[in-house]
Amino acid sequence: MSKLKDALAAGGFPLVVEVKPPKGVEVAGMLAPVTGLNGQVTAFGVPDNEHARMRLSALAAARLVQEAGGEPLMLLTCRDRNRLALESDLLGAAALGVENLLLLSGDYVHQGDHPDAKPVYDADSVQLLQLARELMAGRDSAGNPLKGAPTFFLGAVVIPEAQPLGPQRLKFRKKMEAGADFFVTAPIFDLDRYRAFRREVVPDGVKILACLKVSSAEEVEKAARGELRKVYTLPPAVIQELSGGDPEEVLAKGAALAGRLARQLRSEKLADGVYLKAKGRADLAAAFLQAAGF
Amino acid sequence: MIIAERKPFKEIQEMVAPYGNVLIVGCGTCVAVCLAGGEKEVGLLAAQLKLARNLAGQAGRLGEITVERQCDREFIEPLQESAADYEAVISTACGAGVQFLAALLKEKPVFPALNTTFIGVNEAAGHYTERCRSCHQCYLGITGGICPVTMCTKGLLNGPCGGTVAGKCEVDPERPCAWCEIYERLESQGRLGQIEAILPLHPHSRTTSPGTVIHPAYLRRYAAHE
Amino acid sequence: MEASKVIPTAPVAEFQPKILALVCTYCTYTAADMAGSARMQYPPTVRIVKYLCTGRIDILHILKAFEAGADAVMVSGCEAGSCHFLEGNLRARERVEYAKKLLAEIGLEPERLEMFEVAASDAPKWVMVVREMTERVKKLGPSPLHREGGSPAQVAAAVQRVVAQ
Repeated sequence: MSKLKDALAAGGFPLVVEVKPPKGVEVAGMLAPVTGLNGQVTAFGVPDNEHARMRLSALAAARLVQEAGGEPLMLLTCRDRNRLALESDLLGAAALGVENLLLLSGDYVHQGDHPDAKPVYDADSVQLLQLARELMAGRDSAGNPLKGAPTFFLGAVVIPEAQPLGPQRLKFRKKMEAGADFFVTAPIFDLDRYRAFRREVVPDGVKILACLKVSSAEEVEKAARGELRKVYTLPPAVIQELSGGDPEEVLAKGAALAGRLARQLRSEKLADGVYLKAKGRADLAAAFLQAAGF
Repeated sequence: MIIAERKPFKEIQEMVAPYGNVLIVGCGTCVAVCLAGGEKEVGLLAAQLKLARNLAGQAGRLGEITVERQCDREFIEPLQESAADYEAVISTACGAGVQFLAALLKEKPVFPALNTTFIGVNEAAGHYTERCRSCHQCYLGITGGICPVTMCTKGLLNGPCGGTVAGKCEVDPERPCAWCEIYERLESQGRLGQIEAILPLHPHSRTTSPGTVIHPAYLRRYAAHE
Repeated sequence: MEASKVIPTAPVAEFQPKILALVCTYCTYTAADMAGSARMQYPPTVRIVKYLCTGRIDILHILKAFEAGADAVMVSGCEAGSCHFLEGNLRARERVEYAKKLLAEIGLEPERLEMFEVAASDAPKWVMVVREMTERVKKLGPSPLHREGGSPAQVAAAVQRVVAQ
């Protein structure tokens, strides 16, 4: 039933656009890209308290995306739930018709807006993939049988520019072994580094959604000062291209760049699809689409 | 050993403000080594409290005594007599010692002077770092002597999270990523194969709270209580 | 030596601070001795306790001095790099800094405690730091702990008791 799954299987180069669940209950803004772009987008990524900042629940948001006519790709982190909550949220997602999942460890609580919260991490992302697989096989993690097994299309994250690469490679292999159907990368700006990763690390047949990000002016400035501490890098040429102009101009240039990168990734067959982070804004996603020529 | 830090003076001062004669009981083991609650620190706390009380014009006697360990009944039992003349007791032990003392001196208020922080090591004089979360299931044999439960901020069992930047932790750029260190050490020892298999979910059921351990040789003596 | 004369606590006279100087025998003590021999004039407000090295000075000694009625405590050791025991003076400085925090926690002005460096040959500097500390304490006024106060001799004796323990 998952369009994302079908598109990846058919080599259709699907596009996933991330929406932003609100801090509050006004959901119209979050749903704008869904209503605005539905025909051109395969699925909508729904973050789970992204950067450990508390927002409307990803499960509820995924369902709202669905009701608005979009197909959700729900993110689920290990940060805020023990294994009972993870499993019951997985069952809940299945019951609500949310099939696409992206399973992650989750940014640490100190980085968010509730730094005093208790971090959970009862499972890690590899074990969470296993939990989901177990549920699909009709059992919970304690071995109890389920009444009706869920169907999922399971995604995991991989970091192409990880330094050092060895430990990341180990985790990548474990995620494949645990049953990840596809992978979403960390944001890609440096095509050369990504190309090397794709050739040397990713086995044939593994489906990769390349994450492209529309950077804010603030992020570009930080990168220009060499202060951006992220798992991805902005090469000097990209910084130069994006720098200058007011914040809106920087975003527009970022969307154009992401579009160009998407076109290149597709033509070189470096990825099987794209996961776009464009501040949850329909206009930026539309600008991306135009630049990409999809 | 157990590492602790002294509470802010004001907090201690306010806890014992309603009491005249107060006995400060030190602990001569872990917290003495980490300069938080040994004989010396009892002396300093007593001196500080005396000065502060003098400033506030509050009367009362401050007694000082330090025992070998507050987590052993044989060492604290004599304190019953020592505490008789005091209205309240401050313990500079870890949380375990404070509780053992409070259980012994049932009728008397017992106050903690420390915040117990972790099980750790003495890096150098005055410098202590955490090493163990006492999780009931030690993985050190397969993780090259580096604990993923303690040294990885997220306690991940199957490799680094996606937040590692240049071998450093997502949370603290000063701290090495535990999983990068595990990988490096095992690689240097030719033991990487050990972490290839996926580790299952951690058995938190063992961490029943509060925990009890009975040495196998003493089962006959204590098993009846279980 | 001038400094060790016991000052009678006159009820009417101007406030004469009681300052305890915890000093190193290799440097400051020699300088103070030289100041006395040379009949250099400085306020009769200090009472000296001699240590083999300021590294021996315990925070408890400092706190006990205040408890016994000192209006201020000065620690004076060798200049950085010239400690007879290599780094005793550096440790003393760390302790003095920590002790200032403890005093602040209690609610006592941390300025009542200070660390100085006076080389063995520098008698004029000893005179200067005593004057400086005396002026500082005169501004601060008597220690709020002991408005009536013990005599300087009592203060020094209290510290010597602690050191002996």
